[in-house]
Amino acid sequence: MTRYIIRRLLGAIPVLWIIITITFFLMRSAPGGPFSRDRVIPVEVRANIEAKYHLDEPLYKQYGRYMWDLLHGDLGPSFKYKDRTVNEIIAAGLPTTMTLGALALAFALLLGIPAGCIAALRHNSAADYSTMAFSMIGVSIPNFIILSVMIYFFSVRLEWLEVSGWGTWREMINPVIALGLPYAAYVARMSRAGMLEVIRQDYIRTARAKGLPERIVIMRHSLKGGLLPVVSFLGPAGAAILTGSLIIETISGIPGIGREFVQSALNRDYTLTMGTVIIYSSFLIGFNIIVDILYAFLDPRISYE
Amino acid sequence: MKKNLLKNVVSAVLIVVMAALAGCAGGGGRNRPAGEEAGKPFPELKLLYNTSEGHKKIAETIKQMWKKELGITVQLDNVEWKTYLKNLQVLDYDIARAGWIGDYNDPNTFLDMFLSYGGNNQTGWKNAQYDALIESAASELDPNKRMAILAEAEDILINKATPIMPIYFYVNQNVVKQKVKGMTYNLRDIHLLKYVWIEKDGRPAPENEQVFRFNNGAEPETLDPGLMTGSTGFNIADQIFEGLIQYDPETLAPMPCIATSWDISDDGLVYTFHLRKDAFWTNGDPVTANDFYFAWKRVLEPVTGAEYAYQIYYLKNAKAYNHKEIDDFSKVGLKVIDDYTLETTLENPTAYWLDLLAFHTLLPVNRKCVEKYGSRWTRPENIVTNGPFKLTEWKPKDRIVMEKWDAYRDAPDVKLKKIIAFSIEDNVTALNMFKADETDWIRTIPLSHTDEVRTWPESHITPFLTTYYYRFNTTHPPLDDPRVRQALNLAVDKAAICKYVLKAGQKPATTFVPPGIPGYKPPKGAEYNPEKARELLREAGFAVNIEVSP
Repeated sequence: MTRYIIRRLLGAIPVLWIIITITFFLMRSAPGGPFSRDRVIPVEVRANIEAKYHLDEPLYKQYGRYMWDLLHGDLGPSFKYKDRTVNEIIAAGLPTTMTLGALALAFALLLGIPAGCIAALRHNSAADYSTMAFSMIGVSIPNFIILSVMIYFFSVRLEWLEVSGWGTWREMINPVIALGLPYAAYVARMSRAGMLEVIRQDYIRTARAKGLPERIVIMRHSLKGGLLPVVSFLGPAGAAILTGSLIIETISGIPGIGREFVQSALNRDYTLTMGTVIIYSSFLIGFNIIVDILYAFLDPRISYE
Repeated sequence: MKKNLLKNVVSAVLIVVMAALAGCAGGGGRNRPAGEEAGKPFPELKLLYNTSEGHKKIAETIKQMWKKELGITVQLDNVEWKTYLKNLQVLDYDIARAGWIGDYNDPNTFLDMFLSYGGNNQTGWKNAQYDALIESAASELDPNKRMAILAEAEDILINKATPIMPIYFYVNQNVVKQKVKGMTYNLRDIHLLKYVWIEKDGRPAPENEQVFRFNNGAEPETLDPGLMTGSTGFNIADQIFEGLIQYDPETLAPMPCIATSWDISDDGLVYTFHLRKDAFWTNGDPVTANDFYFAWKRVLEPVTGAEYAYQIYYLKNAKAYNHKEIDDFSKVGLKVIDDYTLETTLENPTAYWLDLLAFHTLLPVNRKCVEKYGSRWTRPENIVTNGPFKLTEWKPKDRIVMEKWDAYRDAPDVKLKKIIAFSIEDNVTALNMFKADETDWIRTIPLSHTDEVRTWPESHITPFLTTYYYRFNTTHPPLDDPRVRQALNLAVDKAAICKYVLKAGQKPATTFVPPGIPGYKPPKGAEYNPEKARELLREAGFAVNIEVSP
């Protein structure tokens, strides 16, 4: 197993390198640059600025400089936020974004798995239909609509919660639920489907025939297999949710890194875009490795030895 | 009552019948097939704008007006901001939206854009007579003559050559809680919060309630006055730094600040500033002429890479130094006579030099602090400032907190204890915060809510020194013909755009320079006249085939 993990981690390095390289050159080929402005900067001033940020060097040299700094853990200065480095921006924003993501994910799992299981165990009952109807709605409604409606009722009309900000529970409830709800709906549908498949298996019938209490049949024997689809969904979903959401962070005024994924690219803030791409791809690769390892524990048919 | 009703009904019926008759009679004659009129068909044009709800609505309206009045088909070309800027720069567009915010209270900040060699021209339009007028205005000493020359230049710009089509003048919509007193509204939307206080039960609220929260629109790119370029930075710098000059909060007239008085030489080139001796930095150092010398030199230093360095180019040789043409800074027209006397020598007698001195790029910075902390000097734990408020907290993308600086020379007159500036980008969120009493001041109202908000007693709509306009690419036929550009301009009903699309009290623009600049009498611009527009288009050789609905 250890050998497998090491092999996967080593395999991630070239993948990451290719992503970084492609992003680097794609960003530079986008029209405009970090210093193209509404008020055109005179050519000579522009030259001064470009020299300051080494943007006047040939592209291969800039790439070499970037990779060298990256190897030393330096993501460079932000072109847009001139008082900060990319390392500082990520260090300030990522914990917030991850907290939001982790809470939303926990909410999604705590709501989605029980709902899905109940629906599966009461197949074709009213509970099943209503759970599936709600999850259909949850999957279909974009999270920013949920958030806007929640803000309107709970913050503006009733004034129970804050409109924006991040830190107190009154500020956190709206964005966590809005971000988590569509995931909860997905998780409910997937755990229902997974459970339905598993409880029809022979080994469950055997367990029941042996007279095991239903609680043990479900908790010990069915859940493990029934939740496999949820686990594989958690790989990409976890990476996505933990690296944040542009819309939720913008609407709720959350000082996270999520909105930089889009904003920095629009601003042509080359270094910040690179930083966010590195974060997201590392998360994605890391989560997929974790999911594959979890599989070995959950599914006896899979072994990496 | 009944009689009136009857009269109304009769006249209504008459009008309908007459309209129907006129429609039948006219319809037969005017509803000719397309292409019947002699002349070239007008090619399809592309209208470029950057993605935004407002720009889109305006573009769609103008597209319809041109179709209806001139039979011209326009394709809307919507791109993201940086692509839009690139297209403008390489003249890859036919017609493009634009807006310009004045940097100082003078027509020149608008008119010098369209110099043939101006970087912001971006229309391909070149006019030697226009250049000569703008240049002669720059060295004219008599203010009345100077304004007359600028008006003559604007007449060429808007009436004779028309490389641009002004559409409307912006307004500021400041929405302020009624407990906030002392707010003033001016043409440049500059707000000095040292004049502001919170009222409670008809008198100033107790000290611990003197907290003012506002929405700053976005995260400032920097709090370094020498590097900042946008309003999000300016709004903060205005509270924590003070320059030689400060604007009158209503008229924007230059008023003494760190400089208490100044002498101007007869040729208008040499200004000698006398600085006050009771101005200090938050670290206890006195504010001296050396601080201004250091700050301006730093902005002009090529390695600083200051985008707005050109705001100081009015100083003799400043441009040459920033462009690395000379490397001896003593040749630049900036001299420290003694600690409290600063002398500036200008390239030209610049009538608005005093105005510019309050611009953020020219604010002083503390040498010790900047040299010690480098790019980290603006952090709350490091920063040294000289304004009525000091920076105490900066949570990026969340909030900036400023507190009253008790050692400020006029501290007893400063009533606010604390200012919180939120970096909220979403305008709807900001509006919700205002409704939920989480903020006291918002300034960008979403287009979808202007109708609702403008009727509130908290809403203050005032003119703003900014023009929304369209650029014509004068290198693309048929837009190389001024008659075509003028026809396009005449066919747009700007008043209708203000009334039905913008709805926040914006004024239709027939000139490029917004009204309200003291001493400036703008030329008369062209009013909406579709008939004349069609004539001009025919004169230019094009067939005007408008569809007349039967």
